[in-house]
Amino acid sequence: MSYILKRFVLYFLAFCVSLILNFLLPRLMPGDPVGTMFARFKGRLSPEAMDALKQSLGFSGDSLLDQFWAYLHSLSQGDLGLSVAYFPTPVTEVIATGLWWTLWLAGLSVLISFIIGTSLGILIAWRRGSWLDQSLPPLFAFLGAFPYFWLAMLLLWVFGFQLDWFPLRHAYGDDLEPSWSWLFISDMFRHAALPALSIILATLGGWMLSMRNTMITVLGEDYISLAQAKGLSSKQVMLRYAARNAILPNLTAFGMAIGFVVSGSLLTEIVFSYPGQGYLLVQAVRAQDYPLMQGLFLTITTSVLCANCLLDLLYVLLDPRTRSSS
Amino acid sequence: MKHLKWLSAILDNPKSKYGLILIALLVLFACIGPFLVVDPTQSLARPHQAPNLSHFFGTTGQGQDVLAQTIVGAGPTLFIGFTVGILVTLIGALVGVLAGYLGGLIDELLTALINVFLVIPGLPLAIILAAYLPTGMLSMILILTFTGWAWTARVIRAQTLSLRDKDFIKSAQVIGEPLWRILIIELLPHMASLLLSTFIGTTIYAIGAQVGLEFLGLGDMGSVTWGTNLYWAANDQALLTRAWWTYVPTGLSIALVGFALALINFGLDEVTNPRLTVDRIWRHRLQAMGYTFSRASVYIGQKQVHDFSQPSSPQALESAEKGGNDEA
Amino acid sequence: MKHNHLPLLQLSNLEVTYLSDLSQADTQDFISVQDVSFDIQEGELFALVGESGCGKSTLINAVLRTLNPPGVISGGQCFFLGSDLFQITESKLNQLRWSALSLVPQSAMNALNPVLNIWAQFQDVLEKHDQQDLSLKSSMSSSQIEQPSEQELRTLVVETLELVELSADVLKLYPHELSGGMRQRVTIALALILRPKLIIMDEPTTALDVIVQHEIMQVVLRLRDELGFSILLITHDLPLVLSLADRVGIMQKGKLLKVATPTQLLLEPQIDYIAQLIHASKIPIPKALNSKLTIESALPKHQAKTVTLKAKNLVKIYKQKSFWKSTQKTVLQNVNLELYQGETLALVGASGSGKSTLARLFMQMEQPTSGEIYLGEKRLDPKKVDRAFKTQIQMVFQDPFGALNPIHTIAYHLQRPLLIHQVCTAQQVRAQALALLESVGLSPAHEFIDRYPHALSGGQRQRVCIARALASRPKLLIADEPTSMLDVSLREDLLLLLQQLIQEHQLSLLLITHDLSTAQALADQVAILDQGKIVEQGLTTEVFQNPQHPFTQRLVKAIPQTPNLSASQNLREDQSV
Repeated sequence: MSYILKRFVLYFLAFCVSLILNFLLPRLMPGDPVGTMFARFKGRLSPEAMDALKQSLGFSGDSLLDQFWAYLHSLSQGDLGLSVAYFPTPVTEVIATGLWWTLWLAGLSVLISFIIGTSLGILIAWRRGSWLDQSLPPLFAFLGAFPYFWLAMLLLWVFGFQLDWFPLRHAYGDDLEPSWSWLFISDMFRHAALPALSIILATLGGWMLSMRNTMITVLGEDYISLAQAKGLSSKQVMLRYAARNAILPNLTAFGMAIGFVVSGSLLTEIVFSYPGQGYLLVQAVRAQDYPLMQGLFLTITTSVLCANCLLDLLYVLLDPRTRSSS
Repeated sequence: MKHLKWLSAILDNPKSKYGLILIALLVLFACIGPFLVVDPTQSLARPHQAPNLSHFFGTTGQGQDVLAQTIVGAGPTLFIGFTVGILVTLIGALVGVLAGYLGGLIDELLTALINVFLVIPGLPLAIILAAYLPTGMLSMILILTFTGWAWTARVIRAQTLSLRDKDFIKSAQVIGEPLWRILIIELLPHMASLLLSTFIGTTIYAIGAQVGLEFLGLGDMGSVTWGTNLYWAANDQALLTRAWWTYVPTGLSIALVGFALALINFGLDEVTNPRLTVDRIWRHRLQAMGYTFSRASVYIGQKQVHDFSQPSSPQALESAEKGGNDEA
Repeated sequence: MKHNHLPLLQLSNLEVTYLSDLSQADTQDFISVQDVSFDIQEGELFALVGESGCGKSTLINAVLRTLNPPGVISGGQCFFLGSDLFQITESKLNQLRWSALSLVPQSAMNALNPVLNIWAQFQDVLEKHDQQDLSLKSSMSSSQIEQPSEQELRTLVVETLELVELSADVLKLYPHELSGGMRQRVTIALALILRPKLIIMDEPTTALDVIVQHEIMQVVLRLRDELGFSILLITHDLPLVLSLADRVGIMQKGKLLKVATPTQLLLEPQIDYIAQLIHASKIPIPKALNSKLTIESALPKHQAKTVTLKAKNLVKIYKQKSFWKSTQKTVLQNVNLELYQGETLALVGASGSGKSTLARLFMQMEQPTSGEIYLGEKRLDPKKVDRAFKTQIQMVFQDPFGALNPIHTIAYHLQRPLLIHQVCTAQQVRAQALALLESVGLSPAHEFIDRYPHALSGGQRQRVCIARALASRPKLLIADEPTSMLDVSLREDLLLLLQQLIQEHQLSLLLITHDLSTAQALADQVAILDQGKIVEQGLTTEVFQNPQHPFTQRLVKAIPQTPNLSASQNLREDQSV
């Protein structure tokens, strides 16, 4: 189990680093951006709001270490400060409104993209040299070269505005109340379709190509030749022997890339006014709401780390070599 | 010079060749283009004009010329992309080679650092950095380098680990070569193609991340870059007003750059790992010899063997087809 | 083919071509195997021998139809059990595969799927093939005609594992949990599980230690006698083949030169290449070396010997730390060695015995946990790396293809040590490098000096490595298996060169090897290393003639003996009965 323990220690370390970054950034930035921010907010914010903001950004006059303990203490109670844009709502409450929508959209599209991309990679590696193998990689490389949100804009324009097949914005229809009804869930899917599609199109090629290349490496291994000499059916050789081994390095790559994809999906949310973290992020940037921005950074980092933990558990399940003690 | 064969080979490989040509053209365009167009910041005409003869790409919501904005925006975007690419490659190579070669405690510390930076999502980190740092090109370069170096370091470290145990490195140690010579003269040249491909990968990342940050409104909104073009297009309600021409040219340009760079990396992959293409060549040859068979008959690229000493033998063809059907 | 004695496998006029990319100007198709015909009788052990790159492995891949692109079978037939393997459909072929024709692959390390346990790797082949057939073959064949139950299959697998002397416990293990020898046994058991007619064995033992090699071949021969299958053995190990095989085919450059019995080969080699191979395989005591050795050792050697290198109570322990526990691994325990000027000491041991660690300690690439190393009179400082020391000990590595950096010319490789150790001025350095090349027999030197390593053959490269090691005028040369990566026919020349250089320069040589015959040929003294301890040490002739320690006795027994003629005659008569 030392493998999984090592990974968890790493995630804990990464979490600590992001906490420290989060704490230090407003306090150590050159040119006093927070000071200029206060100047700008003068008159716009109530005095209580200014005080709360000063407190959370480190203008209390205490020593840095004392501030850090205070920061950790309030964090442990789920207190990330008050949002400026949505004053006086606490940051945690603001984030909570969008968190599930982001997890739903990013999770859905990342999973679909990984599954389809990996399957296509297996297929084109198995039939390498075929027309499929020669046409799919360049096609998806081209699609992958677009910024996610630009692809989203294009899809929205074509399928939303021109063809009117899909809704233009939000996570569900304005006339609906969230519930577990069939009507609501199908509406949720209809709203998620375009944003998810843009993320899937942009990321699919990466999974496909890396799976293809690891498959090709694995196909040169001796155990593949032996499996064929055994007379096993080609489906068995392809899945049980080749893909089963090739998926392992791809899972590691998936863990590394998941943060990047989730970040990209935030930008997509903006295009569709999807009420997730990305939408909050753009509000925070516009209103220069530093506490909210930092809260978002922590939330996203934590979710990505959690996703990585899950992936590692899966990895241990799939690779016996990580399970042995030696 | 066998070790430089891949350099001439990427010029022979059609993918990397066209990628290089495309990127060279784009860079050339970014350099001389700004002298040929009108001022992209100036409001010159009626806003949101569709493409027409006086404004080939139409105008923005502010009445600026989209063509001029697209061309002028290329310069800073590409400059930042390539600069970050170079910086990240240098830092990543330094950290990766040192960690991989020296091993021990230094390696453990550096590896922990690399891994931490790998799992912290880059864009959110870049966002809070950009929010606090003063806006400008330098900040942008620093932010993207800071959030992007870890991947390169990881790849270079892995490669160093595999090279470190080669006998020619041990030989260099045995004859008493100093450390810097072992690293720079014996080790690094073997990673030239890897460094090139990570440089290209990083450049793609840097352009994407930069455009993303600027699209959010983090960056120097007064300058003209591809990212700010898209930011203003979104800000001016380009989608609602159906002014597709305000964002399509910029997006296509970004994709063109990314695609050209990706093409170079494709070619580089094929050159350094001939296994990736050997089947294609093989198939072409067999087809040229008069064998027509479904793709599936050559599963995992091999197993259906044809006796083509007698190409007309119906038996051989039949077996090929049958084998194919088994697979399909 | 209408004779009574229908051969089990009949290969005729096989040709395999590697297709090239015609769009590349300077390439053309490469015919890897050309016009190869032979047959294998029931119960026969047919061996194919040849040096690396002669097309042996391509040939078996063609027979199994597992050729990798761009290879294609471009001609010939292969009749096996009445059908042409090259013409039948994939599904027909898959029925024959393994149930009648199985394979023991070259490197058992990678031959087993790393993510499946051993049972699963047996199970899929059992499920695939005709199970009714299986239950009949099983020795505990029950009278049931239905498909055998999982329990019966398991019994069959356990029985087969017992044949290769493995217990049923391995079934739930994964490949990485097995040692190299165990994995090889598993692949043999896997090849036997369906009781095939013919087993192709592709260098089944090369990756293993001498002792394990010997044991595994014994197991295979015993099984053949018990179960009566035929073997196609692919190997480069001629001594092994001459003592085991019924018939031998000699391959060179994709052609089959000759098929004959071992006796015929020994009596009348006929073809130069075969004679050369046989000669090289007898390397155990080549006459030339032997005579030189005896002359040398008769001379003042035993008087007033100067010690070049001394190791006193060397201990090396590796500590592995993780978060909650630290483990220790003792690699060397109390090693004592003395090496005299002008002499050769062979350090013999299996892989993992600690011999490479010992070399690294001498080279100061690592520091000993305790103990002392002396070079001449001077003690090596364990705290810091002594530069002057480095001039005095040099090393020749195992793999000549890896030891020269492909991006530098031969001149660069030779000039660097000359400059680093200030053997000569920058003006003289090229002349010195040329002289070094001449001294290792690369003559005329100016033809070699500006080439890149890839333009030289393996033997030539190893000579460059020796020249480089000599450049700093060392007193002691450590050679780590210097010939093991070379083809047999080149080994003798290189050993002779080493011998000659040692005498010319009054060098001491520490020869690290697992190959007793090399040790026997070159060394004045041997030290046998087993699990970090020196178990036996002494004059070469004494140790080999009268091994004391059980480990040494096993080693000596594992040396493949070239059979004398009467023995192989007997073997043949046994076969014909």
